[in-house]
Order: sequence, then C-alpha cells, then structure tokens
Amino acid sequence: MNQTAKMIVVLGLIAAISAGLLAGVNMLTKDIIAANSEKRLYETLAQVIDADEFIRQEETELALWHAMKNGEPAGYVVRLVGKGYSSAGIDMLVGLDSEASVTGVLIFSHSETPGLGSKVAAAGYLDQFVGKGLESPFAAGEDVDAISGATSSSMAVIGSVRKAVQFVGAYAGLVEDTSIDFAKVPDGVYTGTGRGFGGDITVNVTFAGGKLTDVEIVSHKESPNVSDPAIKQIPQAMIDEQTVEVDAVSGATMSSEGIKAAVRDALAEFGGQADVPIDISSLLPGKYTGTARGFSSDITVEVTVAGGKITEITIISQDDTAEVSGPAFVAIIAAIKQEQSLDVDLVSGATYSSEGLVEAVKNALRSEGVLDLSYLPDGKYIGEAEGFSREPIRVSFTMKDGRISSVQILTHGDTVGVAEPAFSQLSSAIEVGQTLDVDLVSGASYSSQGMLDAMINAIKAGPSSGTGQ
Amino acid sequence: MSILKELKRGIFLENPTFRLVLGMCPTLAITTLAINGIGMGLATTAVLIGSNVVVAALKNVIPSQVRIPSYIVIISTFVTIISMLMEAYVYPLYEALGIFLPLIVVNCIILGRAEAYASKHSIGKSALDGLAIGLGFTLSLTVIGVIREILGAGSIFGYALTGENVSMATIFSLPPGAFFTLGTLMALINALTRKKSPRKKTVAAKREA
Repeated sequence: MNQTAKMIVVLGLIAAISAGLLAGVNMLTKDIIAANSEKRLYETLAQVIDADEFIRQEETELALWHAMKNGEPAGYVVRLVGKGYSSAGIDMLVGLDSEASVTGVLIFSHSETPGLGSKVAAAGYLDQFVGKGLESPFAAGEDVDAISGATSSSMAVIGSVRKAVQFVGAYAGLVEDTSIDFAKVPDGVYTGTGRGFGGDITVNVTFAGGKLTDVEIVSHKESPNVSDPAIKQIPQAMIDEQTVEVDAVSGATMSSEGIKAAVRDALAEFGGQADVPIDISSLLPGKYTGTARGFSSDITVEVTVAGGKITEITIISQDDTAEVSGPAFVAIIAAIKQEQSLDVDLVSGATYSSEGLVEAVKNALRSEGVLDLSYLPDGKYIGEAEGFSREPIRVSFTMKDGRISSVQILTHGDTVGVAEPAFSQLSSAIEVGQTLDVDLVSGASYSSQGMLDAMINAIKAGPSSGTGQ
Repeated sequence: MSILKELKRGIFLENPTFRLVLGMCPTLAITTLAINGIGMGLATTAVLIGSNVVVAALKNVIPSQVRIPSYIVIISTFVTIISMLMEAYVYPLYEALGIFLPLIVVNCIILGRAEAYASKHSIGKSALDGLAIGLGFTLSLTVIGVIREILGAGSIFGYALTGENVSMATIFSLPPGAFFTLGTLMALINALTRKKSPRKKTVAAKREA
C-alpha cells in the first residue's frame, strides 16, 4: 500500500513539475514563435508583390490579403488551389496591384508529376504572368504559354491566375457585377421568394424605364425589431445602387440575404440563377447523382438514364419525415418517369420534400454523371474530337450485349510517339474496365482527353450500323 | 583523464550509431545535409544530458515499477522545451528537423542511457555520459550528413562545391543514399577495428574450432 502510494506521488510530482516547466517555457517563447510565423508568411507574400504589410481579409471567397507599402495600399495577394493533373491540386499565391494586374505568382506546393507537370513551378514559367490583367484573355498559345507534356498542370496554373485576376477585379469593384442585367428587364412587377431567418420572404419587384424602382416586401416571418433594419434598408440600397448585390445589414444578415434571394428569384429569368432547361433525350446513358435540400435535410438521388429516358430514380439518402415524404416521393418519381419531364406537379402537404426531390434530380442531371456503357445499344460507333493538334482524333468501337470492344483510333494528328502509346493504353484500360472513367495518361493528357471526348461524341451520335458489320 | 576516457568511450567505443546501432530512424532520415546532422545531434545531446542528470538525481526517489513512465515524462519534457526554444530562436533548423524533433522522445538512445547508465551512476558521471554519447551521435550524423551532402547536392554545409551545371548523384539525398552511406561507413569501421582487436581473432578462432 505504502509502495503504491509512493509510486503515485512520485509520478504525479514528476508530471506536475514537467507541466510547470513547459508552461513557463511556453510563455517565454509563444510570442516569439507567433511573431516569427507571421514574419515568414509576410516574407512569402512579399515574394509576389512589393509590399511590407499585409492585412488578411475575413470572409472572402478566396483567401485574400490587402498589401500595403509604407502605409499606402499597394495591391492584393490571393491564395488559391488549382486542379492540375494530380488530385492534390496546385496551391499558389498570386500578387496583384490595385488595377488587378499580376505582380507575381508563386507555387506553394504541388504534387504534379516530377519532370513533367512540375515544370510549371519554375520561376521562368511563372514570370510570364507578370503584367497581365483584367484585359488579358489568359488563353494558352495566345498571350500565355502552356508547357508541352504538362498541359493539364499549365492549364491549372493559367486558370488559377485568371481566377485570381477576376476575383480581385470584382472585389476591388473594377468589373461590374453582371449577374443580373437590370437594363434588360422589361418594365413590370415581378414576384419572388427567398428564405430568410424565420421562413420565406416574398417580394414584389417593380421595374419602370429600365430601372429598379421599388422592392416591396409582401410577406415575411422574420423576428420583429431585429429584422426591421434589413427590411427598411436593403430595398432602398438596391434601388439606390441599382444592383441586387448590396451589403447585408449587420445584425440581420439572414434577413438581408433572404430579401436578396427573393429579388434574385423574382428576376431569375433575366440572368443569375435562371433554370437551364434539361433535355432528357440528349443525356448519355449512365448514372447521375445529385443532392438538394428537402424539408429537414438533404436529399440525395441517383438517376439512371438509358436510351434518352429516365429509367430509374433511387433515393440514396434523406431524413425527411418518412410518413409525409415517402408517398410524395413515390408519386413524384412515378410522375417523372411517366412524363419524362421534371416539370411535374408537387405533392401538397409535402411541398418542401417534393420540391427538394425534383431539385435533386435536376442537380443530378446537370452533373457529369458516371457513364454506364452497358446501356448502349449494340452497334458500331464512330466519333471524333480535337486532341492536342488541330486535326481531330477519330475513334471507333463496337458494342455488343452491353460490352465494349475493338476500341480503335482511325485517324489522328497528334505527336505519334507520345499519343499512340497513350491511345493503346487507354483502349485496353477501357476494354478491361468496361468504362470510360479511366485515368488520363501523364504527358499526353490532351491526346487522352481528346480520345475520350471522341468516344463520348460517338455515343451521342449513336450506333451507325448493326452488329453485322 | 577520466573525462577524456569517457568521451572516447562515448564517441568511439560505444558510438551509438556505428557501435550500438541505436537511433537509426533520425540517422537515416535527417542526414541529407551536414548542418541537419549537427542540429539533430546537438538537440539530442541537450536532451540526453538533461534527462541523464534528472534521472540520476531522482534514481533513489523513483520506484522501480514506475521508472519507465517517469523517464518518458522527463525525456518528453526536455524534448518539448528544446523544440519550443528551437522554433523560437533557430527556425530554419526546426523546420529541417521536422517530425524527427518530437521523435527524440522515443529515440532509444535516450531511454537506453537513462535505463542502462544514469539510473546506476552519479549525477556528474551521468552528465558526462550524456555529453559523450551525444557527441558521438552528433559526430556520426555529421559524417553521414557531409558525405550525403557532397555526393547528393554537391555542397558542404551549404557552400557549393561544384558549378551549377554539374548534376550530382541525387540518390544520396534520397532515402536509399542514407542506407548506402550508413552501410558503407559501418563496414569500414568494422573492418578497421577488427584488425586492431585481438578479441575478434579469438572469437574467429573459436568459431573455426
């Protein structure tokens, strides 16, 4: 017993003294460590723009710093991750002056193929962006170069720089927000709803003489008093500034956003988030997955398309009240399948759930989807698409009993030594896997992509003749 | 005299890397540059001296049943203190040593010395043992680091030895190079010491018989 007590006391004491020591050293060093880490960040940021002070901006879509030189604004630094050849992405910093012209580009980290994609990280390549700005098209081969054999990586870097320029352009107010062009809205009154803090907000938006003249809030369920400033100020701000994208009222953010959403909804047909109609008959066979908000949770669906028709809708996950939503879902799915249209009647009593389901199906069909070759009718397919060179890649393949075979390149104009090994690699990958969801060949990404595009085009065109061929 | 003897023991006779073959993980991983070898070696030496002294001072207080957890707490405290100090004052080295700094905690050299030496000897002797073994470790890492840096990067302690267009055997900067260097050095040291040691002969003779 005594022995046990001694063990506990000694070990406890050692731990306590250690903890005390660590706390002391931590107090001594933590400020220096924090200052060092800030200084290192600034040193990194200063590599892309000539500045001595950086202020991190909160709540921007991309990580953004205001750069200051001797207390004067010098420009911006944007950090963003571009999708290159590797899935890890290319983490980069882009420095821009106050006119959104590029002052420097730096790649923080990337996992592109060493020797190929990694070439984009070289300073010599990144220097070409300096001086480019909002007026530059950032088109490979025109104003910027892509590195041959590292096209995907180059495109990711070019795309990221373009995005940074446009982001800062919009942030600094250098470009107009064109999401809804008020000049194109005919005179009249438009009604729309948006979700606020307490529920739906309904607005009447009036246009006269090509201008927004009134935003009337018809009904809302927002908290009294709290939401009053938003209800008063947001419509007035929209009329004053002639834009939907006004600053939210602090303390009533949700209500502000709800009003904005309602106005956007009212004007949806004139741009912004207008519904793009989905042409079901042109969809490729396969499985499409999409998610949308139902009554109490997200609804995820998997839609199977074969022969230009929706053949199956499976609900993968949902938490909406089963007794209410269950029958509604069955009815909606049956209606969509029967009418082959997404414009079906909602089920009353389960409006949110049915609306969510239809939205989820729409989102699914807008997504890329996983092509299912086994639904393709038998026959010989021929299609073409552009690869690396201007000359198209022509591909043919045969479908029989849902299996793909004889994938052949008929003609192409790509570099023979690079493209042809890639073509044969892809052909066997497709035939073995029975899928077009195969990896591109590193070093020949454009030729690989061209071949896959050509196959998609062949599927779209449909079989050219029977299997007797 | 005795100090010299202790140092000789730590650096040559009981060299932790080439003789005891302890602490291989940091040895192989961080020795891409000579400066990393020195940094890791000195950091380990500091932890080793500190933990040896404390363990020797507490050797009569710590009940033998809880000695291992006690040693681990003591060692990890020293490691954390060293790593905080390094992060604050010598950041480049801190960054280069990376994950291997916290791993000093489980470096078997340190626990090994606490268990095998400090728990049985006086504070002064234990401190000296820590210094000697630590310097032995530092020297070994530095030698490996120098070789790998020259062959792999064409520089020594950061000073370029070759022109820009000379491409070096990059493999020496990569993990296989660590094994090549360590293996060759160990073989060399064994070959050199075998000749001098008559004991080896008798062992060999016995084996023959």
